[in-house]
Amino acid sequence: MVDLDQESDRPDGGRGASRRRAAVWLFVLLVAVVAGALASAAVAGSRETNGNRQENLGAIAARYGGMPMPVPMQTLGTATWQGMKITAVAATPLPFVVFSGTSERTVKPSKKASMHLMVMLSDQQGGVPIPYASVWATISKAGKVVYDERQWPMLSRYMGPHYGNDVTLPGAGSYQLTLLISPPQAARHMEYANVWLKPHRVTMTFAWTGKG
Amino acid sequence: MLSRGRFLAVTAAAALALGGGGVAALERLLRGRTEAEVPLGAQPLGLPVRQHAWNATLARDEHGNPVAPRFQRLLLFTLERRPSAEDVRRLEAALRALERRYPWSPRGLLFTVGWGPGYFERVLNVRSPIEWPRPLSSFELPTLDDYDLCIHLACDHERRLAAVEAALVRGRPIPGADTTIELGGALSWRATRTGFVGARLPASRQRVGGIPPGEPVSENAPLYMGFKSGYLRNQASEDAVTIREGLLAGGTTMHVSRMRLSLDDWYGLLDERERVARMFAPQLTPAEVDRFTTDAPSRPDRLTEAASRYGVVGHAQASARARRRGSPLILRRDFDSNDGDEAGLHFVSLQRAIADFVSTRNAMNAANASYLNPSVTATVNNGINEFIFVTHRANYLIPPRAQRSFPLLPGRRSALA
Repeated sequence: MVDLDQESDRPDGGRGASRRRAAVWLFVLLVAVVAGALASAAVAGSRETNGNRQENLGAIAARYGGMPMPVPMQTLGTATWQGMKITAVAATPLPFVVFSGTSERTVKPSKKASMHLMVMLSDQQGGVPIPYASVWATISKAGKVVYDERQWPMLSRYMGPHYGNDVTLPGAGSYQLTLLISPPQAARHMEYANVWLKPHRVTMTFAWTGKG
Repeated sequence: MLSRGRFLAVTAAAALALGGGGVAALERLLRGRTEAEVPLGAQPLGLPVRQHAWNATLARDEHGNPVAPRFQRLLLFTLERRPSAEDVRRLEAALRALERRYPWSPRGLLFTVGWGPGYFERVLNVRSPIEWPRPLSSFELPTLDDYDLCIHLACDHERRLAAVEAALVRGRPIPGADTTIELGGALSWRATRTGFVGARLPASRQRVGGIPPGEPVSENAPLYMGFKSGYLRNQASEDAVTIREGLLAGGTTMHVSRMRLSLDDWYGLLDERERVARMFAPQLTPAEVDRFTTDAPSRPDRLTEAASRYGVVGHAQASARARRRGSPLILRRDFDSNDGDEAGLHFVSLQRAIADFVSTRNAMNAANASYLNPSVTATVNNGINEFIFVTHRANYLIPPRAQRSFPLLPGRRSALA
């Protein structure tokens, strides 16, 4: 990992640092361009309904306190609930590990998987992720349920604590994503004493033109 | 002012009354009712006082466990207006016609007639003897049904249930019946939920949403999740769920919820031992479950150990904490469904009071387990909670058989005289 702030303290008067900084920014730019290209190929849902849009991970990850990585992402929708920001994001399908009682198990996406769905719950003001909730995602197309599962509580270096799973969609089209958010089950500081006490449902519409 | 026809009718009724048997008829005519047009028909002798008395008629497996009727159906109605005496007679006549046509058993037809809280509060303007439904976990936000009437039909013949529904809802004739039946009148049919339980049925209907490809449901599975449900000692008795006192003594309460099943991970991610851990208890092995006979002892006393040591809580283990003097509080009559091409479960349970169901459901939620081990959340590693999604809930009161048609309605007794 490159720490840009430390480089200006090097004893070469900063010229070498400037060159290295320029190289790093060039690399970051290159990553962003590649990510953008991949994003265009995989998810072409930008400028679609309900505000869902496609952007490189740098912007999305930075918004949630994470670091950039070259994975295309699409914001499926956002909502708020009593000061909690709810954001649904689609990334390319990916493997992850679940802790099942006493053992870990790797869950690999099926060949047909369309996306890795990530639901971020965060404090609307401070951006701090909110764990200890449960999220159930139901995706419908033309009124028919095509996906209906609880989301795993999940950790990611780049996205922080969130709730996610790999999702297979039956093809391109307009979908309705319904999220059932349960109250976080944890002791709370007083500022959270009177919020998120009952289950909450949000519904988002998104267009999917990627893999199905 | 009486019309000429009414005058003649009243005169005739008065003559009957003078003859010693027509007081009720006279009363009906003076009130201007026409229920005489709806003959009640005879009721077979020997039927149980309790509508929910099914167990004595059920077949038994090799261990003596009752075998549920293989096909079941819920017919849901609302009331469009306050029921008349004619509506009372029409409903009772239809139910008696079914009793005459089919023996009271799964080989014939079993049914219960239940009434929702809206019937009592909106129609009768009395305090409902049962609670309104409400969400019962932190991870559900179901539609709370507001039907007035629920008729639960059950038998071993799927086509028969379809025929009975067609008769009640659309007035189609029932083959072999001595009369046509149609509820109509104040009752308006709103929805039907269908389902099945028993070996081979889930396997033959598993190409639906919620079940992963590859036909993972085995031939001998009585339910989509692969395990048997109705162990004799894991069920409340019909006596235990019967209301003992008051106007509705001999009745019971019924909770009806509809759930979608999401079994991709159940079959795709978990092996048999892990499924046993979640359905029963992590301390049990599949071999031990195979040896179950009349009970599913799932170590409820070791739930803390299950959460803290195994990181998994069993469904039966958690639910079994809700007991009264060692016995379950509810009598489950649930069945699977492929309504809407989705794998589902219609959870029908009987209990003396809805509070007994709520206690059982709260125990099943195992909401405290996440404090014992954060790997157990409301919907992860917590019984079968992560595989069922509650979409609807409803509560009904099932009166005793004699009061099943519009219970507590003023004038119903004279209407049925």
